[in-house]
Amino acid sequence: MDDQLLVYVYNVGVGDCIYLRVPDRDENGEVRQRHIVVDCGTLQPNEDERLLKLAMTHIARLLPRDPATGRKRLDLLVVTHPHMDHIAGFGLESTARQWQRKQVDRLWLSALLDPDNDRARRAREQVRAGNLALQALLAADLHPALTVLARELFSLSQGQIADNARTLLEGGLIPPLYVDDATPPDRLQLFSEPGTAIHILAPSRDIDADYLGLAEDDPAEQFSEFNRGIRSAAGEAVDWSFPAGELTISQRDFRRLRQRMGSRAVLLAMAQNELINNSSIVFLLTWRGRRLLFTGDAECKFTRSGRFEAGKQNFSWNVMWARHRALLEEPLDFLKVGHHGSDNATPWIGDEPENEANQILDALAPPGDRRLYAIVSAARHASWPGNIPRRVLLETLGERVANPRLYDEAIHYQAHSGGNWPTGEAERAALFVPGDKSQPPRTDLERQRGKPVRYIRVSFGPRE
Amino acid sequence: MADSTDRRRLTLRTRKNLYESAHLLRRDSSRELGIFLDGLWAYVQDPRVAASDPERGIQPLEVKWEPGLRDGPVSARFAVLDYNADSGALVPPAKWDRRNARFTGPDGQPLDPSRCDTFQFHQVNVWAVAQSVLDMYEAPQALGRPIPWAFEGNRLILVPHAGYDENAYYDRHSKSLQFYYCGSPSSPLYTCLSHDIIAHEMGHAVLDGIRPLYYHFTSLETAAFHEAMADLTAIVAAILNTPLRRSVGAAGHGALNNDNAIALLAEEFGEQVMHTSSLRSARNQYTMAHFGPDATPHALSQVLTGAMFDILAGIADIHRREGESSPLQALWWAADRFRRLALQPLDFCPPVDIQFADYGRAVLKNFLLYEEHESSNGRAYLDLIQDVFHRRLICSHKRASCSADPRQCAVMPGHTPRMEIVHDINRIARSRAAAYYFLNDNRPQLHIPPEQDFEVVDLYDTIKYGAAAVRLPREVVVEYVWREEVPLEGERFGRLQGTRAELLCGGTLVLDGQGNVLAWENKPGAGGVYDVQAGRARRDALLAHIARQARYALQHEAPEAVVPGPWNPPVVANIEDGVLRLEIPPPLRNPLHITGGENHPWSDLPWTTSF
Repeated sequence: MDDQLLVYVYNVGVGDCIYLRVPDRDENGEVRQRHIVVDCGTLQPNEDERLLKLAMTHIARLLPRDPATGRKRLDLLVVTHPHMDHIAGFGLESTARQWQRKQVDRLWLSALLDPDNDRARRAREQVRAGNLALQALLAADLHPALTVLARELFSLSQGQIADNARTLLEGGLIPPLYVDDATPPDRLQLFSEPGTAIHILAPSRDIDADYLGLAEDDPAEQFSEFNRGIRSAAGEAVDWSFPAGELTISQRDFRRLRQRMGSRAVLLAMAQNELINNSSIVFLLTWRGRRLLFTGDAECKFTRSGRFEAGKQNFSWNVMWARHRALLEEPLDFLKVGHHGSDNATPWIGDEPENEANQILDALAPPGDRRLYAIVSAARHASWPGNIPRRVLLETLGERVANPRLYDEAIHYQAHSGGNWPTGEAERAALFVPGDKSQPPRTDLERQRGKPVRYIRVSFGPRE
Repeated sequence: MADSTDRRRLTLRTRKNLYESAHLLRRDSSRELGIFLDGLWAYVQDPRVAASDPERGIQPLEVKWEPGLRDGPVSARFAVLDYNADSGALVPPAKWDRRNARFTGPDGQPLDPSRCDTFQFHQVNVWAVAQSVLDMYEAPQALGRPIPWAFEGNRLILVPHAGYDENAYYDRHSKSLQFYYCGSPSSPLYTCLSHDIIAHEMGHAVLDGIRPLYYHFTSLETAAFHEAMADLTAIVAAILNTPLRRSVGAAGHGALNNDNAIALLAEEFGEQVMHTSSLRSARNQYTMAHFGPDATPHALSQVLTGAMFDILAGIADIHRREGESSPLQALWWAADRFRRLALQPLDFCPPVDIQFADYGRAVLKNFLLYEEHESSNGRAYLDLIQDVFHRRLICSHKRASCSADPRQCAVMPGHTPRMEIVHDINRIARSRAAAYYFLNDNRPQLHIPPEQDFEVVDLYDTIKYGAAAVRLPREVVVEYVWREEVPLEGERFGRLQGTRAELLCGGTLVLDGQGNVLAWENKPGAGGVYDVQAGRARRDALLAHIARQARYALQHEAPEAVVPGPWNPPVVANIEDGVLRLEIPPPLRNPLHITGGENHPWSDLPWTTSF
């Protein structure tokens, strides 16, 4: 087993927590194991903290102890992007303490977070604007449907746990290296063995230009500037709980008006959400002929034939295909399915054969090739039952992977998970992959001796 | 003539007395007596046009003084709230200077054209234009009565700087017209400064007030009619605007069959956002045959808008050919006639499920009753109207080509029934309950099925003027409605299968001061003994329409739960007690290019102002 590359994808609900053990042979033929952790998060930290703790405990068992410090050590921690489903473990008290006790040799964060990155200035402003918009939204007395949506968006990147996580990552462990696809290879050097390397495919070096387009065409930029002007015309700081200034209508009418207008802030928040996803670190690990892709929550564009357009708003997959096609054009051995199996993070769109997204997936996982091992780290939730994960996408992947599974998903969710699941046959069929259709292994459905697994493990030897 | 100094000397008591009598006074007398507010300015069209053509720049606008005017502005029917939903800010309102009867900035200075860049000027601009459009509709030359809103309450909220977006819309559920802004800080575009956009949104609000059941998305043509009337409102408001009409008339020597400011809607928006000369043009050659069942309401509306503009241009030509007055005077007469011809027929329209041909019949009916014989050109106008509708295929033949003689075309008004049981008209007009008794006694004549319980949804009296301000006969308008449930069975209804749709049925009956029937327009049901074939055709059309929308309609428990946003499909299915109602929520165009949601044929609309 020492010469096997191991991948553990932990069951953390809707989230990612991945451990890699990569054998690394030096020039003397000695093999050192490199220990890498990619993300440690869950979307619902209050409900799924236990799962993160179990994952951390297991990871700790796999890590070596540094003889000099006595601490459990890992070579590299990659935090793909600052959403709760990827960072909660650094903000929850129980798991953050475990991280603080570890020795982390290298920490990579997305270049979006680098405060000195001039090429992500507008992106950071949009993130800030989205945060403010959400705060305003939650402070207002809105319709319950909108409040639920706002809370979900808010919980992705804001609140105490997220704040704690950012504090830990940006100064509490070791100084991070902010990476993008132009980070010099010598700064990414981790392995001694020739041919073993981590290739950063995203985020793009030009975060503003590639994901937001040109400044003069960027409506969010105009939006931000414009609204700064509006606020200065209106007066001083805004009271988010209730706007300053006199109302010319009744409070009842104003509340109803704000309900109907409140979605504007949600738009900003959704844009911010999309931007953070697109700024995920995406990396390709090459090892002894094997190719393993870790995608964070990088998104894919399907409109306008899915092609990258310079100077326009683009999505991460489209930028990667335009800039790093040579690295992506060959079949993969492993894919961490993006964004928990949602349909905006894996390049595939069923009813547009000419769409570039399909070409990307065909390159990564050629139909009939069946060498790919894919894992989906997901859990269905009653709030977004149909989208995460997406049935038709999983069925498509199921036809291409080397490790397909047949699950009784509908039975699992009806019987075990409660929630407001549809009871109509047609609606269930729309959500759940039928029991006779293959899909990649899923952390929410994989079981061992009748119990949910703690992780799904894949191992690789060298490719002959 | 009293000057502004004299007006400021009017005491409050005098103003109130004048206000009480204002409805009896002609406009020039009202002006002389100081009934209109002082120092009220608004854009004739929009800032871009103002910059390029000072004659169509910022003009004084005449809005009557009211006793309850307040900071905002707030008046009896409108309340301006300058709330920005993006930033959460409330911009200070324009101040009401009671002593001088004018609106000022927060500093107490008048809001004259030199201050057109201030938000308080914008507030007054949007209020004044909205008020003038409402006055246009309530005037005797149009509907001749106060117009209710469709929502609970009587004040329409005007939000001049609602947030960043290339849009403006009417939203019944929040009782508001919301005007957004876009562009860049150095080159902003405020929709609250576009006369056409304000008038268009007011058109939606007014039509919703007088025909609230058109809000139910029962057919594509009903939704398209809403859009057409909104555009028509902008056209009528524009042609009645003296500086604009004079400018257009001078340029075209009184003719309108060119790309002029009346025909072009929202020029600044079109140029800056869509890089065209305007958002839409009323000059087009579309017929019903150009559009299929998947057309958008905006696209289809162009047929009716184009038809009505053809009629306006044709009337102008006829007046010019008369040669009895100058081209500009002829254009004024044409504008005056067109206002009556386009707006007064709304009272003859059915209460539900309007189709273009229904409006066409109403236009002709109104014309035949009041306009045909008061001019030597009556025959020419009649031929013009019939030819236009026929050419546009606005008739019961719909999209099939109509080869019938236009004078025999089905868009001619139908028969008016003779009531079996006569009631005193003054009793009928007294209350809906009294009107119900009358209608119930005449069910066979009105084709109301015996087993159907029906409701009188509206009842009103009008005082309208015809040509030369001649008072028209009293009209008592009664609208009645009943609903038939139609089960939605079959795969074609998708997730709506198993619910029931409502076939809205009913009619509009117009009586004169003696109780004679002037006009009658009905929408039959499918289950009765009257108009069975027509009723079944309506039912089948409704089912086909619902089946087309079923793929996209998102189910919600209540309209309030539908929050405008790009994640909503363009059609919402409200299901209550198993009964389905389709509704089009205000679309919020996505300026931040967020993708998501199922594809819909309407998802790539370049710009939508909607209700």
